[in-house]
Amino acid sequence: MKLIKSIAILFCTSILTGCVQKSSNKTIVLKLDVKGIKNIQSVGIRGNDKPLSWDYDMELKPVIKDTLYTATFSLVTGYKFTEAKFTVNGQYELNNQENRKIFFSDKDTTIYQAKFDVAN
Amino acid sequence: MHNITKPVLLPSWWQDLLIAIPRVICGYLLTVYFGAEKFGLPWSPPDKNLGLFEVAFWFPGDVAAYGGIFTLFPAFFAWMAAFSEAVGGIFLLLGLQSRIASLLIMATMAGAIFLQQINQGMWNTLPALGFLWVSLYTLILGSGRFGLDYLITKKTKNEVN
Repeated sequence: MKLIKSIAILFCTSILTGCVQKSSNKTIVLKLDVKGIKNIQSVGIRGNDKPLSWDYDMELKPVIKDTLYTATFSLVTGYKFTEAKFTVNGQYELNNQENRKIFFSDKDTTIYQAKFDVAN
Repeated sequence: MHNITKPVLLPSWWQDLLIAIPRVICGYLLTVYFGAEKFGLPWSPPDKNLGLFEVAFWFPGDVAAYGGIFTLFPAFFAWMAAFSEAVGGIFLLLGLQSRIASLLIMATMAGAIFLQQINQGMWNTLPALGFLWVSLYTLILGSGRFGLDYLITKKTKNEVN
């Protein structure tokens, strides 16, 4: 009886301990409209999940200078979205407002388009 | 099993009440905040996208970074640690199998302190140390009068008599 109990406990433990949240690799393509902002030195994004960080910018490169900036990054995640804010010249957008939620597409690649300082 | 469950009773009921306060608070914090963030429970934040009894995807990776045996079975240790916090917290809160829950929480907190947080400075070890101290006394005393263990063992004793 003890042996059966031990086997059952071992079986249940091994099944349960295999319960790890599913994660997948997601690629995010950011396109940021900064039209109307003057003297742009740098455009960046900060956020929750690596490779994003709230401590430093991930740089967005100009597609059209002073108008449209872009960046692409990948992360492994099990979440439905990540939170982030864009910066221009090191200054955050959406002051005293909630972070942007970038929802991941069911597909591998998510394209996220936004206008600076305008909540989606 | 009866001996593990049966709490040590203090001379007065108000002493049991006083020591129940940190037990209940720690159990609540463990299950509602710390555990539910990384272990799927009905009250886990929906943002975390966790299924019931699932451990967060990032946790086994963190556990594997501790090295040694943790690298060999990261999912097992991550699941056990998250379970200890989330479900152990409920048990501690209710005073149900307090000693078993305390042992699980102590092991988890000791791991968190010595394998992770101590490298980030002593201040960062304080939350885990707090949980460790509380689970140390509940390991010895059990739930006291204000927990389900007391009711269960009291009933069992009456049935035996």
